[in-house]
Amino acid sequence: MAEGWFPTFFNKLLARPRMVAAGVIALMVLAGLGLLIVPFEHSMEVMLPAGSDTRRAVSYLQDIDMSAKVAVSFALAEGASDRSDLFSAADQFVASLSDLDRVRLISDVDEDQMIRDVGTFLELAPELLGASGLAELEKKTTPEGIASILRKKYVQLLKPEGSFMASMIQRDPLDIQMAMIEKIRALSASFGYDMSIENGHLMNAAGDRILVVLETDIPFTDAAGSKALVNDLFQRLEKLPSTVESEMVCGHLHTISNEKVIRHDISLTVTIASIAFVLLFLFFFRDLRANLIFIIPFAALLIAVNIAAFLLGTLSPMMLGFGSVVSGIAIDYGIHVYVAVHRSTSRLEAVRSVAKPVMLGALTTGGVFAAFYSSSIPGYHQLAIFALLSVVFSVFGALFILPVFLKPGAPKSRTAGPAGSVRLPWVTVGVFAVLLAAAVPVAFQVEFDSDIMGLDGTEKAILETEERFQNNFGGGSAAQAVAVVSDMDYQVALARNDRLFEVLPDDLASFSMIWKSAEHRRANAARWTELWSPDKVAEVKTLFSRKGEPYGFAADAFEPFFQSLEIPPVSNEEPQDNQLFEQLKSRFVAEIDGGTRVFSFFPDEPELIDALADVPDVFVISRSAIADSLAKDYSREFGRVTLVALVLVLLMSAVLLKDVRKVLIVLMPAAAGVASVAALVRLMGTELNVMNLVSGIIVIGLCVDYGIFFVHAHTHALNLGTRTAISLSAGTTLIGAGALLFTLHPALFSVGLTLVGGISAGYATSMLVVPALCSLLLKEESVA
Amino acid sequence: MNLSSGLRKLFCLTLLLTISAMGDQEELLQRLEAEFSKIETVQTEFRQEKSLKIFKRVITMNGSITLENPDRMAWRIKSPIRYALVLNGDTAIQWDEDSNKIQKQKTSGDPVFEEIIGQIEKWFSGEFKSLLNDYELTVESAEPPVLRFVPKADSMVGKVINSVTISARADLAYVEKIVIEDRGGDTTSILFFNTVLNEPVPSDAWEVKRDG
Repeated sequence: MAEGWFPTFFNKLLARPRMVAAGVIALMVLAGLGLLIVPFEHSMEVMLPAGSDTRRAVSYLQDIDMSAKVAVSFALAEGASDRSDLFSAADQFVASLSDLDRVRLISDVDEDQMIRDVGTFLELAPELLGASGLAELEKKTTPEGIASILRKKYVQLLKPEGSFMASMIQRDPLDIQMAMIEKIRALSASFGYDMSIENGHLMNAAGDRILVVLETDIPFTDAAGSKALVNDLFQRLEKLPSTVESEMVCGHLHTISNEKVIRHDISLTVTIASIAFVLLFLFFFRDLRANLIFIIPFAALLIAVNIAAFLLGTLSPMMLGFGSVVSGIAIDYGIHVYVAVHRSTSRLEAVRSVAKPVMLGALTTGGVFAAFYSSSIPGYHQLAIFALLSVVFSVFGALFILPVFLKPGAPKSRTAGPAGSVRLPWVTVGVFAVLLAAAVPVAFQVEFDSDIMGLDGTEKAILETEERFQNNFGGGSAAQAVAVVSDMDYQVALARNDRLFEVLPDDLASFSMIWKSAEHRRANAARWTELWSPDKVAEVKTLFSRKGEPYGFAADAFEPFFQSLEIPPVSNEEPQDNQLFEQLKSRFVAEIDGGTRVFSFFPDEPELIDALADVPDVFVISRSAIADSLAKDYSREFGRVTLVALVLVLLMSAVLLKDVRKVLIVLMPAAAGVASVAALVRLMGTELNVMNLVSGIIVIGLCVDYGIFFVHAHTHALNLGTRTAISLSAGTTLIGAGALLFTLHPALFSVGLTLVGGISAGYATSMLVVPALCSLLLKEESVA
Repeated sequence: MNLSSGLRKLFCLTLLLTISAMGDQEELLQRLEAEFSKIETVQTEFRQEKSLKIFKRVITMNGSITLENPDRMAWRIKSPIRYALVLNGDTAIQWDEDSNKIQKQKTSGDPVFEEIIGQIEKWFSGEFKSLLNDYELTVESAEPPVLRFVPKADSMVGKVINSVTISARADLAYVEKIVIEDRGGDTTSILFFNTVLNEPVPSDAWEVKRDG
């Protein structure tokens, strides 16, 4: 019996319990220390299919919406009334930032500078006036056009503000520069904010709040950097007078909050699960050594996290949240070994007797997790690697480490299988079939929740602050669709953006309205010069003189305009020291990975999306369409992972069980589990999200294990406490999953809920339906 | 600059500045504060003369202005064009005979507008001294009072206006004439006459119809 590598290796370990204990403890200490340096990355992108348009779209939107900016608002505290306190507090805060190298103020408004900046654009109007603009200009310079314009200017000059507009009208009677001002105004309005400027500060429309916007090079996905930044800023805000209140909004707060929630949840679930496991084993087994069963998967998890992080480079904290679930699964192997050793006189014999179902269970569970690797969602890859490693180490620990510290018990009768005598098996099977059939149509009505922000565990207080910001300062561009052009060459990207703008000039808020590629500007300038030939100038001068006579316009009234028609050569350079240009450019242009992306914004309406669908080199992002696209992506991913998981489970079950009837019986708890997950989601009126899909597939793997253990014990007439072991397995898994019901993170909570429902159904099926099926279909074999 | 801000700037500056200029500046301001704080409503006709380089002749306009404390003002032109502007709280409504359209817009959030409204409030409440933060005051004549206000160089209004000269009535009850000189040398003068103070204003004064 004691031949081959297994008994040799097993006996060597049995002979050296202290060395084994020391080795395990050393490994756990090292793994525990390693946990401190594991790089976690907080990003929802990990749950989006790699390489998909959806992921690209979400990534682009994050570049726009969540760029590393920090917004701080200041308002007078209740009871305070001196507005000068508000301005001085904002100024004090801004001044206090001077020692923060990685933070830059971008919301300061210098009104003189702004006037100069606008003036620059007015001078550049001929370069920026496209072919359609020149056509409009030609219409204005007909006799009728000039008569109409002069009447309009006359009325304008007589209005109250007219006294202040005379010089502007002399310079720009045809409203060429005014059109430029309108474009700048329209672009500013496209930001979607409702603000004004007072004393060089950005104010909300009600005039009772100041907004300060900062830019930082610390990405919001950098947890440590986010913490340092937010701490620095809060320290400075705390020093402000008590008459002024402040609030802050930034992506970094989401990162910090998510990490805080995840840490809280992990601590809570580990504590709850640990206490529950220890109590369960102490009261059930009444043996302190039973605690070792719990230590095995815990140690396996610690090691797996380190290796997974080493292999992947980074880990999503959401995956760690699955730790208690994985431990609930992996603990099963130890339970089976413990129960078997307790019912045997030989540790080696006991382990050999359960090694096959343990290995088979681990293979099917591993197959299920391996199926996640077939998905294109990186978060699923992380889960697959993390869980597979945990399962491998847990099996090793259960088969080789745990028995070293267990004492064999009294031998039990091996004449009766676990099924025992089953009453009315046909009735049980019939009821099960009816319930399963009833669940199928309900399950098919389940829909997918494609809002990945539902996985964002950010605390409510932060979300409420963001809502207040939106109410006070306007909604931003959150509801707008985005068209993106890009190229490694800045000028090529601008040229593409110019072509895009020409498709929908009336609907796009485009950078092309105020800045075009150098080639385009040169072409415009050439057209301008061609239009304003000496003959044309003379003709328009004559018309101004003749048509202006009835209103009393002076003969030289518009001489400043005619003097401005000759324009300098077009420069390749952008406007220098122009704050307005820089601010608009930062809104529409992003330099990413050495290339340039130019964004245009427009109403998220199907006809506009369709109009841009066939424009070459343009990527259109409809925020409303992303939800549909994600739902399709998740359906596809779920279908693929489920199919691969089923194939792997079926293959392994078929190869190892070598009997179609056994395979079918083994699959029954899994079918019941999945059906109940879907039915539970439907009955609760919720939708399946990307994390619920994980629970559904895990339920398959676990419930198949219950079937395998039962069928194995039944067909081999083993009485090694299989019912007890399955009950304990299900109990511990339910403890692990149930602990998730106490978490704050929405993703973990919903996973816990569906796992508890699925496992309960799978367990009930393995205890009631599987014995009935075994007694009906495997009767002869079991007797034999 | 939009029309409402231009209008109000013109009128406010006028009113503000009317207030000081009689011998001792301090005493004059105190007297004017006392007199102008009594005003609740103003209904007056005006004749405006624009001497702008863009025109080869002086353009003369006739119209009326109505004010009601604290935040209502109506400016109507009767000739040579017909035009109406009514400011009511944070809303501006205007109409002109050429477009024959009534346009309504919010004025809150317009810093120029808010500044002017603030100055008007100060004028009605007699807080003249605070106005001197933005203007240099010269009293050109004490009897009748003629005040010349020159915007400080670093103020926004100083980029457009060179000076505003305000002549008050001899009884200090109200403004008689305002002359605005802009940075380019153009001048606009407004002469107020048939002025009625503190009489109830008909409600239709705050309405804008298609006929103005």
